Amino acid sequence: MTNKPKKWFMLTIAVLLVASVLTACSGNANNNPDNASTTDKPDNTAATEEPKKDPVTLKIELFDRNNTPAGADPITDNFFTKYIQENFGDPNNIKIEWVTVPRSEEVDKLNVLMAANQAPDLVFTYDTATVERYVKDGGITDLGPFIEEHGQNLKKLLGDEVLSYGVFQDKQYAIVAKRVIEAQISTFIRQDWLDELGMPVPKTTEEFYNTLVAFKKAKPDAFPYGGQTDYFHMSPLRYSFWEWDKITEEDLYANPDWIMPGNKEGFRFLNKLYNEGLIDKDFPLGIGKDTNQFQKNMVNGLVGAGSTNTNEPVYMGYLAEMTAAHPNAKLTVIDPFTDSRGKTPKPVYTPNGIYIIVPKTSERAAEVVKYLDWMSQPENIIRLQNGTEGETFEMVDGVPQTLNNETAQNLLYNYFDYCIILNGKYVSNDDNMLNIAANASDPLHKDFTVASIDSGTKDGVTKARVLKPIESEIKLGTQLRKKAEEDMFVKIITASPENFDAVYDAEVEDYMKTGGTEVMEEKRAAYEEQYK
Amino acid sequence: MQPLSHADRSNKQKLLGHARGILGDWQLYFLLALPLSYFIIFKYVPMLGVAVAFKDYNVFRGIWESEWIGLEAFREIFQMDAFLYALRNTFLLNLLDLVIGFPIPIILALLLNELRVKWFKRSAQTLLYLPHFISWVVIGGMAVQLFATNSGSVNVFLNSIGIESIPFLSEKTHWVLTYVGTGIWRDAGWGTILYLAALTGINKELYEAAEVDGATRLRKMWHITLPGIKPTIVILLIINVGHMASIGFERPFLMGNPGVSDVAEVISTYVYTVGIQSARYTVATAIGLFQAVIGLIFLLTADFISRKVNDQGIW
Repeated sequence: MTNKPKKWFMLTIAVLLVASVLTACSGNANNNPDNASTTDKPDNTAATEEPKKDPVTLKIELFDRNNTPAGADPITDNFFTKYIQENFGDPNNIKIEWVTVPRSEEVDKLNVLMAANQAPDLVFTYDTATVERYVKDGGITDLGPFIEEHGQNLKKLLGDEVLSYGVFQDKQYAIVAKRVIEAQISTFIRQDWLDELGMPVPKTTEEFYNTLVAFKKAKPDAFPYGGQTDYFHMSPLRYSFWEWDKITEEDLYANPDWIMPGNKEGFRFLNKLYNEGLIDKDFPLGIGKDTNQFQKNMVNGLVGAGSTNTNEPVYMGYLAEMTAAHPNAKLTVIDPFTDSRGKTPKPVYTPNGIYIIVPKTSERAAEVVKYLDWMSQPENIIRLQNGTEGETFEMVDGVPQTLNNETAQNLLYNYFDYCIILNGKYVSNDDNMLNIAANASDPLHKDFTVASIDSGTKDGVTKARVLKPIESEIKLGTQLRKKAEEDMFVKIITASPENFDAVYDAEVEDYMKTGGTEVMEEKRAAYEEQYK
Repeated sequence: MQPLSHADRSNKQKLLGHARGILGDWQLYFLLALPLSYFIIFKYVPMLGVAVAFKDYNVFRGIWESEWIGLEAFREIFQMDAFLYALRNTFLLNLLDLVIGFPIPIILALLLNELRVKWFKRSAQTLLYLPHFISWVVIGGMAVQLFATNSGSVNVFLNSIGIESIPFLSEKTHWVLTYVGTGIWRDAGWGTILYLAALTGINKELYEAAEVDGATRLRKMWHITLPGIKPTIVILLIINVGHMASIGFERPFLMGNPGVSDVAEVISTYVYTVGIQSARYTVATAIGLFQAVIGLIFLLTADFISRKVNDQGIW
């Protein structure tokens, strides 16, 4: 008799344990693929087999830039997502599900999602080598037939040239976003600091250096050249040191930047800036991780000059934040990095933007194209880039102007992540001046936008386009890029001046040895095959 | 059917006996089944994925459809300088962790054991192991806030009293020290738990006898406490040495930055670069497998030496 209750007790405990472990496991399994996002629904395939009146689920990737202002709606449930659901989803019996991916881990996350067969139906990347690899491995869908059937508006908007960038192995594996503005990088300076010191706007690299030194002297706590200190945003400075008369089209396409004549001097200059405390000593801590630190410095009024994505201070809203905190602050766009020919060479974009692709495992290619086609209609472009007329923008001479209010600030900080077929605000196919005007969306800083785009386009350089995929680059590209843009960039700039030459030469030699030469030679062969 | 021989019969009876034993204690076996299935499902089944290291793995075709390439991936990794550096750094950081970090929990445990005031001992213990529950993501962020050369609080303070900034995170030697230090701060207190448990097992009479003989506190520590927890120390040392070749991902990744990659790039972060970022799964798996083999060698060696020297091992 006494034994029985004990037995039941044990059994209960055993069952409870099993149950708790099992629930814990299943909970884990669901959370694993993508924590803090909306992918947790394992049943999208089930939905497709059910009767037609149930909506199909369309999963769409969405960049999370971690820049949502306090008080704003989450990026997966705001005006834009509701507008898309109501105007595209509901009429077509589609339920839209957003899958967020951290902006700075774009390729990593995509690789994991693709490998785990859990990629959303619509994914995208800026990385050409990644797309080429997926094509080679047979992992993505040929969208050509779907565009023919459902994509007439899309074709009209993008045009043949832009679409051709999405063709790999003669098939339209990717849909490429159209770039409205070619300018990549622009540099600004604090005009009020210049005025305070009675200095002119710097017009050459040397004047720029002298200005930074003066800034440092006058404001010891500031970051004189404190913009985004990374490989990409230092391109105008680096390019200005290159000896362009010795560089052919083929060199520009095939050579790594490191062996360009003059590149070493560009880094010597950066090394000098670092060792004299003219750029943020902590810049290595943010590379590849926190890209927002400089925005905080800027809002705190600590940045004297900086190079950023063209017009980014306006469209990311931190220029407005800075002027709110420091009413006297005024930025002037400058373009001081001049080469021996007196030009200001800098990279500019080709007309293609992000690659939009559909994984082969997805059964929703038709819906994806329908979605992009719907997005291409002028009315939807306006809404997805500007919000609601009267609430967040008003039309002035056919160009949407953002209203200076909280609703607009809380909505438009990531508008570019919804209307993914366009990079940059867009109103007209024919008149690019109208588009520039549209990108000057903040009426208070219209001049800044226009000047940024002008200066970011001036003497722009693009590399030749070679159609053949470069096998060694698909294989080694990511590692080489990490080496170049993170490790080498930091090590060479932070070296002591005495060691600079030794560090630079050793690093470049190592780079060429670990694949740099292999990629360069394959690129040369491919270039010659196509152009000679 | 042939009639059962005597031996067979007794075997059968034995089996029946076992079966009866299992049936009798089925609740206990049922409980055991859980951890066992955990190990099979999450530790043994994934081992089949090791096949990736020997195949030209194409994620879209799957493991079994991809082609075999033999030892090609291993040939490749041994030609990579970056891999050899990562291997060296892994050993370097782990060795420092071991040499500096291993004795500290022992010392802490001895000190805690000597405390007489109960409430103080308890709260000191809790405070010591609280950092263990802070994730590396948070610690990485804290490290930047505290130790950044320009804006870190520590350096801001040093500057304010006229001392120059110390490049805790941007210079190699300083970085290694910061790395080891944060590790100790986070985990030393937690490490004391096992030793404290072992300490409770020491016979109190030994202390009383020593007291009668007039032994000082230090003498008692040296001759009673330390020998008392020696088996625990040895086992933990073996386990730690076994982990020499493996290193967690979060700590080096979050603490590191491109400026110190010469010492901060370790196997786990390298696998991340090669495997996840470049999607070269074959090479990444080969590195992982190689790392496991090295780890096994270390574990067996440590166990062997410990058996010779101490007559104690893990089996």
